[in-house]
Amino acid sequence: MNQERDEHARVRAVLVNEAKAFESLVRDYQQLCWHIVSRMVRDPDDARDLCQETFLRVHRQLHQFRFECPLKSWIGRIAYSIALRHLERRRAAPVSLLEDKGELALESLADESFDLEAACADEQIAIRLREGVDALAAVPRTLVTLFHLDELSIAEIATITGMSEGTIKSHLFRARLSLRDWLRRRGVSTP
Amino acid sequence: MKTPERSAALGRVLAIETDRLPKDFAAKVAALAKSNSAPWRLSGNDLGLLGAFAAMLCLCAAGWLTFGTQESARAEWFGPIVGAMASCPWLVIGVAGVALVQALNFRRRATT
Repeated sequence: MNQERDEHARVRAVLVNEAKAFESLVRDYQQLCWHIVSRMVRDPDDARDLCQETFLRVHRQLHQFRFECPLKSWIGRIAYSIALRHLERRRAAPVSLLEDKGELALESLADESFDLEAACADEQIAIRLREGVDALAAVPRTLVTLFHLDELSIAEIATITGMSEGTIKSHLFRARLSLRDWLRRRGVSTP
Repeated sequence: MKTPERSAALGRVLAIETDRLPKDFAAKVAALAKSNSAPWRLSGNDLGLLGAFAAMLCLCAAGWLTFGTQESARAEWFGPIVGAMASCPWLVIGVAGVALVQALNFRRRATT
């Protein structure tokens, strides 16, 4: 409730052109925007331009924001759609063509044999793992980042990406499997 | 389908970034958004550009009135064009207007 009131005040401040209000809004959400855009679009220069485009669009369309979702999710959705359109223009595949193994099978496979915490404890494995994340396709890479780094809930990620919660969970399990396979192929044995 | 387990360790791995947004990103974007949303006003420079454009048109008209009639007999290709322009002056004024607005717009974008 308090958060909602804060967001109302914040949006109003930007709409009446209060000094530094928009700058403060950008500062608070630029990291989320960067995580989304830079994971979708690999090129850092493109990512910076798209982040700028995102916030300019936020500024233009803020009067249309109806508080139906948190401001963070609304900004994230704009960033995601701008990055996705950029990829479509470049004809880059945002989702990898992994074979469909079924949701239940994925879930059990991912859980039984891959301890991420233990894997990340080793610095060399952590570096390999980072490379593995970078090797994922754009959408799974972004979902993994939003879930594990930004610690967004599945519902928040669904609002940002427009995907169903089931699809997001499925992507996260698949990404975990892909990371495990990535490490195994490079001779790293995971606990 | 149950929710995947969140991994703080993977979060730490993901937090390692070589590229990031510049430190003054927020200030720059805010300034850009402000200039984009500011109502456009005719400044002294814009008036100067407008005056220069009008002067150029006057110069062309004066040149044509002074020399054009003598040369037009030799430059036969020029006649139909002038005739076409004279027959639809509003089109000429419209095209010139669009060109002027584009020039002013380009100048405004270049300076912001």
